[in-house]
Amino acid sequence: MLAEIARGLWLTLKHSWRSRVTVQYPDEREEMPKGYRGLHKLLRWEDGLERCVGCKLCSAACPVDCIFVESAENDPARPTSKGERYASVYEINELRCIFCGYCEEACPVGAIVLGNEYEFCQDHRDKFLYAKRDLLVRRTEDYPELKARYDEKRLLTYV
Amino acid sequence: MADQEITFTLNGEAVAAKKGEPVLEAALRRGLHIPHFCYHSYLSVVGQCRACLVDVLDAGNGKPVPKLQPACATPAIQGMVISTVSPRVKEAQEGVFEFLLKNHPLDCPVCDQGGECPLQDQTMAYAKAVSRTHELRRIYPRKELSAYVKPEMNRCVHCTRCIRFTHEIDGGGEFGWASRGDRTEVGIFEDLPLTSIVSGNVIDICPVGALTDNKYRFTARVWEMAHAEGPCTLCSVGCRQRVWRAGDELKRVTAGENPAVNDAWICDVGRYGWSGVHAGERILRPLIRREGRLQPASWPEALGHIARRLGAILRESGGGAVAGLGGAWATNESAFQFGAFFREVLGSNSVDCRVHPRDLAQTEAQLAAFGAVGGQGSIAGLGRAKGILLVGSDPFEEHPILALQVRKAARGGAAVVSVHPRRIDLRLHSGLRHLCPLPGEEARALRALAKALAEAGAAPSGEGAEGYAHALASADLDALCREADIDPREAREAARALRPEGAEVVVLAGPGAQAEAAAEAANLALLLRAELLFASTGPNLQGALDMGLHPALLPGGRPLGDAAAREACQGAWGGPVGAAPGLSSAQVWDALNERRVRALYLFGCDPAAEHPEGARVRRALEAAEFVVLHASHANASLDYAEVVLPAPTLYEEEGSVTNLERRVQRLRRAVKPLGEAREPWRAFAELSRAMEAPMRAHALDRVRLQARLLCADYAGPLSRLPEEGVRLARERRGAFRAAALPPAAPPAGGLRLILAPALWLSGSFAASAVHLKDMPRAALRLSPPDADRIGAGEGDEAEVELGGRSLRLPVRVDASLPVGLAQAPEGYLAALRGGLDAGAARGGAAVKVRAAAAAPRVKVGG
Amino acid sequence: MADLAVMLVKVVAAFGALLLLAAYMTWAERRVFALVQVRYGPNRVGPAGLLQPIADGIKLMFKESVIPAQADKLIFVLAPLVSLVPAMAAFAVIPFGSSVTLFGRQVDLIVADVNVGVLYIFALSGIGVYGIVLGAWASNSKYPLLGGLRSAAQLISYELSLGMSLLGVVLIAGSLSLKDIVAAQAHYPFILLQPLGFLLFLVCMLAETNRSPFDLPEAESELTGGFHTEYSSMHFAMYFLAEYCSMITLSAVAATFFLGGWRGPLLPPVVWFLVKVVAFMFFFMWVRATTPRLRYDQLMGFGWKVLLPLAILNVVATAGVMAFLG
Repeated sequence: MLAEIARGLWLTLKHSWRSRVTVQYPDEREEMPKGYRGLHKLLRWEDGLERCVGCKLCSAACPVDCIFVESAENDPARPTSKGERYASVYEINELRCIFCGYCEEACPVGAIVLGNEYEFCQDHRDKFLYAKRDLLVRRTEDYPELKARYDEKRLLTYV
Repeated sequence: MADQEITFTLNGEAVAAKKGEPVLEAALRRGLHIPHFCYHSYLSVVGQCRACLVDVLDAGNGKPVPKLQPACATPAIQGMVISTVSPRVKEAQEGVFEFLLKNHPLDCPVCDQGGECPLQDQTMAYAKAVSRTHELRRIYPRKELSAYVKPEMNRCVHCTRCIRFTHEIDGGGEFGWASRGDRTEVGIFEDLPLTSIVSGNVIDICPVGALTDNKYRFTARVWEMAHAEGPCTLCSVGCRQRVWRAGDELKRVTAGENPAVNDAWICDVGRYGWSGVHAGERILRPLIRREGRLQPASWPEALGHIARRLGAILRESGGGAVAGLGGAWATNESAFQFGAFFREVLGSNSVDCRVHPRDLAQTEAQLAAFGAVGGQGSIAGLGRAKGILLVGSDPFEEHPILALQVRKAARGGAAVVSVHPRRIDLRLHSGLRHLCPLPGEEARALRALAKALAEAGAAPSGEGAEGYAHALASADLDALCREADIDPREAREAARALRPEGAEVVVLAGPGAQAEAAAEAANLALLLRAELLFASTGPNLQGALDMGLHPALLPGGRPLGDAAAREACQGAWGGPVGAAPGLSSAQVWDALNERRVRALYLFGCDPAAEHPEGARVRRALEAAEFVVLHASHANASLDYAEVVLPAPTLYEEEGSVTNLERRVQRLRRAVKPLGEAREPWRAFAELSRAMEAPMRAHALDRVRLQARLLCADYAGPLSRLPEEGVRLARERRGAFRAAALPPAAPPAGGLRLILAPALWLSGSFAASAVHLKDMPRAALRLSPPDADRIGAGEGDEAEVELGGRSLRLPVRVDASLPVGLAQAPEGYLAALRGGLDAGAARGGAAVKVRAAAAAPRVKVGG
Repeated sequence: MADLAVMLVKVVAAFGALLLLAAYMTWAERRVFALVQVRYGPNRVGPAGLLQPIADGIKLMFKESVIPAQADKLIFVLAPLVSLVPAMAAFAVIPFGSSVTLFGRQVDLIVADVNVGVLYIFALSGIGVYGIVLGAWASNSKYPLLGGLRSAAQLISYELSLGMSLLGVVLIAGSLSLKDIVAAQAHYPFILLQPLGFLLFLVCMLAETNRSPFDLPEAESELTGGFHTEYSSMHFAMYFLAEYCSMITLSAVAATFFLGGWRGPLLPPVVWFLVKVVAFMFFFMWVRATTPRLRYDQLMGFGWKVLLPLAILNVVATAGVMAFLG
């Protein structure tokens, strides 16, 4: 038994010379892998129109029911999205979200993506209810890594 | 073709079918799916979408059919062997779907049909997984149809269901084809807009998203919603419908299927009437009038207040000093409890569900003729009748689904005779005969028709037959026709048309059949051995009567004078029931004025607005010492109420309702009641507790148990109800009543005004339904010569002067009106508080109409 | 008067150092653990995380002390003190250096040279267990009670062997005073004469301080926190401090009895003493980072059936040799 303990002690001693695996988080950050599922973003088309058409497929696909969408009809003179329909309300409860990515998979127009951002602490529960203005990107071109998540050829661009 | 049962084989499975029935119908009933678009059970078969092509391996004679056959147009034959999975069929299906999708836009995420789309579902099941289409899709110019139907014709697959619906079922024929080939376009004629009251059905039958619901547009998706299926409760027809909700909000109503009532159609009032549940002036909490103003109160406060006031009146003047009206807008259970509360707790028999004099007259006529109300006719019988007599009925405006049944019968060759001051429109090209008597002379026209029938050989038989035969024998057809202003030849023709040998005849008495006309309609039904339907406006008037909301009838229709019946009630309720009949709704108003009745309980009714003698009713309400209003919506009677109790709408309540053919159907709660509304039966039980005379029925199953005990024929339906409901038919045996006709009114000079209900304009519920605001607006209908005379065109404002007051109404020029007659929607004029009063004058009220100057609208009344 | 002043200075210096050392041992333990587990440990507060113990202390002080509603409040509050005071007081008899001359006065670097120092240490460590048992009982909660019972049984079992393992040294040194024992090791440390005694002492030392692999009284996996489950804030900190003070005291005892106390070449005696104590402390941590916890029956069996007979054997053998050598 003593020998075993000695062997154990030797093993732990050896380990203490190894180089450490910890990433010193605020000072150093790891690069997120491709396909990482972080904070959601809503994308736009090149012409600035919102991609989201308010079809609610993401909310249907969501296993935890954390997406709430309300749709409305576009004003033909000042359309919000392509086609007739747009999401007048788009809310994600990021506390409830399990970041499974089903919403992204369900989206027929490549509107909702799970981005690389994982630092979104808040000091109040209510602030995790991300509304459309929190999720919508200004220009999709600024996020090439998000744009690359969809095969543009397979999106429904005709609506 | 006889209903001969045969069997054939589909993909190796035996399928039972009626001989000659389409293979597709039998397969679908058996649960075997064959893709289809143009086929619809209640429309004609056209076999043009080609999606249902099947391989007939054996046509029943041992030989295969060389080419693929459309299952919708292939009649089932004994011993047929059919395959829907052979490579030939698969190839055909894939080809058909590829062509269907060639021009169909892939905008399912935007389309409201997505999720409940036969094209979507069947494409997933039967089509190739990939598209080979590179060409541009066909795009039609954008058009609008109506406030209710939103077209997106790019999605159309040309199944023509909408075209067939409007031509065959609705009869308006608004939809049609334009262009040819690839450019074929389904649409409406520009000068024939889609205004039909049943137009919403094209939304339901469209197998793609080409015609969608404009009111439901983008508000929800089908997978978010749950639905409750049950009867519609906006009129007395009781069409089966699906009420869809998402969360606690109603989203839409779609048609349900009930071959015995509405086939698969509902009217637009039923489809959009639900919008009155959330909107409008709902009563959300109990109110008590303090210092002249109604102020919010809690339920215990309000019930305590009622108990105190009623208790004091009972002590001072006895139960006879309290009267209750209403119950036709409640479930059977709540109606039963209302009656029990009055008879047992208050000791008053003055409880009546027939607030409108028309309902009173019609039910009393039936009671006189048959000893019971309702059950002498069926809606399905109307649809398959060979002769139909419409008395004072304009079904498209009053009960649209009955109009569709009449049209169905007419398409089947039935002769339809209408006795109505107007030449009503049933959108029939032939088969409809009009007898247009002067208003108020319908009974005379009916007597003339009976005389003509007797001349043609019909002989009354049974109880009272002698007296009636004598009355007919002594009648002079020409004189009757002259007095009623109808043509004797037309009366004779109508009589001949109504008596085809051995055919089923239905008499449908609408709201226009009042007093003598209702009694005469019953006589005619007996003479013709016809089914008889009375179409009231209260959705559950029939059920309320069966539940005993009648001053002289106990639950189950047993007379109050029957000691055994009273004893049965005492056994169920625990308290004695007085033998003296109470006051009917007709007697209540005078009794209130004379202080014989001191307290009035209004349960879901609005006599101040809906009673034709509004002024008299309002005076009586003013005189009443204590008025309780127990309703879902604020209405004109609210001004007279001291206590107001909130009630749920029938979308928010569990229970059962009985339609005009005495079909009991189960009502399912679609959403939670708004505000503090609680079920009326519960409110009555709680009120009885507050009065320290607790009723035994404090739970829904206890109410049902009592109702089953006391209403013999409801015992079955109230314990178990099949989905389509149970029709409680009665034996068609009655007594003729040869009442002398009132003397003919002297020909009136000037314009007469008649009031007729329009389903979408009547009542506080319809008034608060925001989606119904796009229906035709309330208007003064004038015949073209009258309109010309006052110089008003369609849509112009006219100033209507009646009984010393006046108001403005838009003019609608209506060629169906005879000269000298104007029509306005009932319940609308009086609803303008302190406004006009049409009065009870037979034959319409004298009215002065002149074109209004194009001045800003002035609010009338005060 | 001057003696009293010197005494006061010695008490304050020694116990101040003890507390400081105990506090930093918590930091050191976490760093050592991190080292073994290939990570960093606390390194954010101050350089290399050196201010971490102070931050922890401040945090603990400002936390609310939750006292269970059904607890015996007085005992619940006093029990941590009963644990902490003896653990600190035991350090009094340990010489942490040779004499120094301060302001012309000869000052022994020992707080109190008691001639029965060994007995004193055992007596105090025996009292320490009361703090645990009382705290456990006063919590009126099942986990603490179980932890307290285990603790009592374990301390009684191992205290015997602990005492026995030191008897050999006492026999050789011929004195119960720790100062004398250090003096007796002027030429060589007693570890050479008493290897078995040292080994036994090492094992018992771990058990006596409730350290891994003998940390059954606070076995997290089965008893949540053991006897201090219900404790929070400074009350909890006192238990925590008591444990580390016991560790330091016993490390000092081990250094004194077997490694010659403050004796050593080149470096000043106090430094030598510190080096030896810290070495034992490291051993404590090292063992904790390595060994899994014993089962309760293994613990008792090992204590009574292996350690105690071996310790008695060691005493008898030492006594025999001493008698033989005269």
